[in-house]
Amino acid sequence: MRTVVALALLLAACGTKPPEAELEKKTVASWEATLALARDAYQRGDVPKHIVRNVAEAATEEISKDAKGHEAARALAAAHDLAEQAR
Amino acid sequence: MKSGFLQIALGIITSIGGFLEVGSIATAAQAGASFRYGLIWAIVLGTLCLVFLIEMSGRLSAVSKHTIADAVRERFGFDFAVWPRLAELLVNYLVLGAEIGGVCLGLKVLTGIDARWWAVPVALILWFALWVGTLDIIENATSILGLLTIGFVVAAVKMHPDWIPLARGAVAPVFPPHDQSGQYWFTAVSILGATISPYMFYFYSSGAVEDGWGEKDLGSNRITAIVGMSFGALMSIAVLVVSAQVFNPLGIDLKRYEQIALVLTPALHKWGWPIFGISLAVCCFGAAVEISLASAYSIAQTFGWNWGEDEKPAQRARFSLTYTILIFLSIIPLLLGVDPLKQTIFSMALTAIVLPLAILPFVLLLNDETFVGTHRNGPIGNFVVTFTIFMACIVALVTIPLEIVGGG
Repeated sequence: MRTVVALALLLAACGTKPPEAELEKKTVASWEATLALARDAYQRGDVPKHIVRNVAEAATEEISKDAKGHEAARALAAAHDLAEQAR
Repeated sequence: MKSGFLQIALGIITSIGGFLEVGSIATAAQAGASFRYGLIWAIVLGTLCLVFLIEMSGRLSAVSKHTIADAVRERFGFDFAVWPRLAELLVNYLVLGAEIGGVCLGLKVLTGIDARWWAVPVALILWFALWVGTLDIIENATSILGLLTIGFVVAAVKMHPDWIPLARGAVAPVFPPHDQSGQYWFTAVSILGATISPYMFYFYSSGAVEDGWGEKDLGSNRITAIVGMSFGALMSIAVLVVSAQVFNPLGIDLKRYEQIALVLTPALHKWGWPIFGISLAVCCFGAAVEISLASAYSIAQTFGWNWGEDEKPAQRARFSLTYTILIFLSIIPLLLGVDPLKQTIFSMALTAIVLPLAILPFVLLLNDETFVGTHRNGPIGNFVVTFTIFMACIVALVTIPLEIVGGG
């Protein structure tokens, strides 16, 4: 049992969280890429309007929750534009 | 009594409903997006353990005519049996909520109508199907519709994955940078929780008793376990591979189902989103059927009530009441606005915590001549169960610390 606990603690100790600013940057970049993927698919006629709207709404909610600053504002504007295109 | 073909259908529905469901779709998609092929080994390892455990569940039922919950109560007594079953019921409640949430999200993808509006209609349809349907009807419908999930395999092949790194990821962990290791191991634990789900054993063994399996069915039981679970694993790996091809190069970290809905579009174009929506809805519905029944089976068998999906509801009133209450309570988090993806990941991790409780009795029951006669476990079977218990204990212990550092 002691071995199991030691292994468990060792495994758990392997994990550390990256700094907050880096996480925010990653979140914004991830949503910008998602928005671009949805926009391209929409322009090719591969997805209907409601799928694009769903993605834009999800992006707006998640970016507003997790990120601040210029990059976040730019991504929020891109989400807004995409939602408008799909109206 | 079923033919061999129909018996294998039980394995396929167990795999569609138990394997490819909201948890495995979410965890596999997240794993592929964040770590490319680096977590395929977790699906392979979980599947290997699952094949053995499912085969043992079927063997126990075919030889002893006891379900697992029955056998545990008879062998270890009511006091030993009741607490693990109640803990599993609590986890099943959350998992069922996540599955119903998955059906609602599938319908949202198909219609654009918010998932919350679907919660009550989906719960009613699920309850009605269990109330009036028989196990055969439910099995066959889910098996046939679930074949649509082959779309993921087609998409995976069309995306031209790198086969050598893929094969490498299937046999050994591919470690990420240190700052991502918490998320890596948390995702690995969630994959194991999504793969080795205890409710599958109760569903499978109860189905085997309801279908009247005997010793002559042991061969088809083995085939069913291998074919059914391998089918589920193949689909799950396909989800991971497509996600790795589509999202990983773009640096997309999956936080919401709305992102995952785009996964098939680059490969299947116009067919991508409807196939994803239908697959998600059907698989999650299959899983919701399984969890509802498995919970009612295990509680009814532990308390000694009448049970059986093929009986009329009036003949097994407390069994029917159990799944009725569970279904309608499980939609409360969704109606309150809890994010289905977060509930899914959290409930998969909780599944991993209760895993040792569910697997421990297998070692004793499958070596007890009074239950399985001459069909006891061989050394390989015993090694796999012992290894799975050891792994389940580690997973249970690390889940909470990993959730703090990597579950975000």
